[in-house]
Amino acid sequence: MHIHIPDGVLPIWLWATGYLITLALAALAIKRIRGQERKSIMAAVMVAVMLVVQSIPLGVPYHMNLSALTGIVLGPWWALLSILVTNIAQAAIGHGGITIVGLNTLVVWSEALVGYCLFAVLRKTTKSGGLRSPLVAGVSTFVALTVSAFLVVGIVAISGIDPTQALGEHFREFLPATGRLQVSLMVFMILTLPIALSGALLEALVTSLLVAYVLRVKPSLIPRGD
Amino acid sequence: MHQASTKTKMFSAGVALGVVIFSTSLSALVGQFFLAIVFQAASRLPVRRLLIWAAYPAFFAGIFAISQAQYSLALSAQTLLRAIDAALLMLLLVNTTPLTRVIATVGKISRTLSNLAFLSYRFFFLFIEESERRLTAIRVRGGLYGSIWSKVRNAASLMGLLFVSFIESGENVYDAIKTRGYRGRFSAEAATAGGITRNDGAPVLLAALAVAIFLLGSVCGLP
Repeated sequence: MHIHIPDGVLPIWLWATGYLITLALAALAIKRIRGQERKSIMAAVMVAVMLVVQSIPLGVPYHMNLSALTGIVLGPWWALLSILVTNIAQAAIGHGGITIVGLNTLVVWSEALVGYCLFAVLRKTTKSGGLRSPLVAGVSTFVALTVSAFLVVGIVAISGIDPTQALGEHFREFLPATGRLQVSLMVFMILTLPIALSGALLEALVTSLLVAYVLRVKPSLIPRGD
Repeated sequence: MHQASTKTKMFSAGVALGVVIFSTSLSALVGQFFLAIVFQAASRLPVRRLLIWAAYPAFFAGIFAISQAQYSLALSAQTLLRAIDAALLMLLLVNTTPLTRVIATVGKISRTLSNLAFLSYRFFFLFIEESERRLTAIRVRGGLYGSIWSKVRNAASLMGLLFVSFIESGENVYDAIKTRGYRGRFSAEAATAGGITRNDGAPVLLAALAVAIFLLGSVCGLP
């Protein structure tokens, strides 16, 4: 799930922390992927694929990411770098705030990471068969996207709203004693979770069908695929 | 704006964006909105199309704004305007700046990320074109008509085919650039090259006006 919270809403400490963690992880990823020049092509392909897929209008306020598939195909470190570049490109065209790029990268990377780990674990623990990898990819994607949806809710829950940023001096009289406002979390959850979970189902189905097709045509693309 | 240097535009976009993020005055955010529109029009950009693109982040910001409406409608309006203003500023920067120079600047920090960005930039347009061609081909062959199951099956096969074809295109591009001497680094002029010229007046004016509107909103206490 991609965070679509605009700039200026989340407190500075939250999005700055997101950036710091993302940059630290990116630096670690760059160290880990040294010498894998050819894989940079796959990573660049996945960036372009993600950008194309995220531009497909579905007629509902949701777009697919294919981040779990990115994690399965590239592994966690290349997936992190691909997701970072994708988010920067999207912020550049106004799709998500610039200040949210760090948090967005962490949330979307969580999908790639969970997708990658679950795919590897479930493949080892399930019976072999023609449909194993596609089904496992679908389940991994659904779980990954559900985890990221709740991660987004968690981010909104801990953010509150910084009154000095959001309201200015005019509304101080409405502030509670704590000096911080809480976002109406229930409203946010009611608005986003049904869409997010339905989208997770759709993306799980798409990922499953994609993996099934790719395994028939070019199985070497899916690491540890059947 | 098109003639201005990339570094000045990046700096002024950063200043204007910072102003949007830290503005607490609704009037100031409205002022930033019109400032962005005026500069887009002056740069001869398709303002209406850019407004439609800016509506996309505004739509998602609307979900967040609804959850804030319980406190104040002005707060919800600020949330929406911040999303739109930030999007319009980024669109102004992106549509008047050679992206290759911006990416080359990133290369000074991380060569891996800039290589990834350069290749993705190239692949994105190749894949869009390829997708349109294949989609037309499958439509002409009646692949997206019929029962729900056949539509889903054919759409999934199309996506799988596109995915495999994108990867093969990527590998072909890599082999081609390797043949042409690619050694892991793309040569491009960074945004920091060249000094400030008189063409940089437009972005400097944008930044100055953005700050002025911010100060008007904050210091004069406009709501």
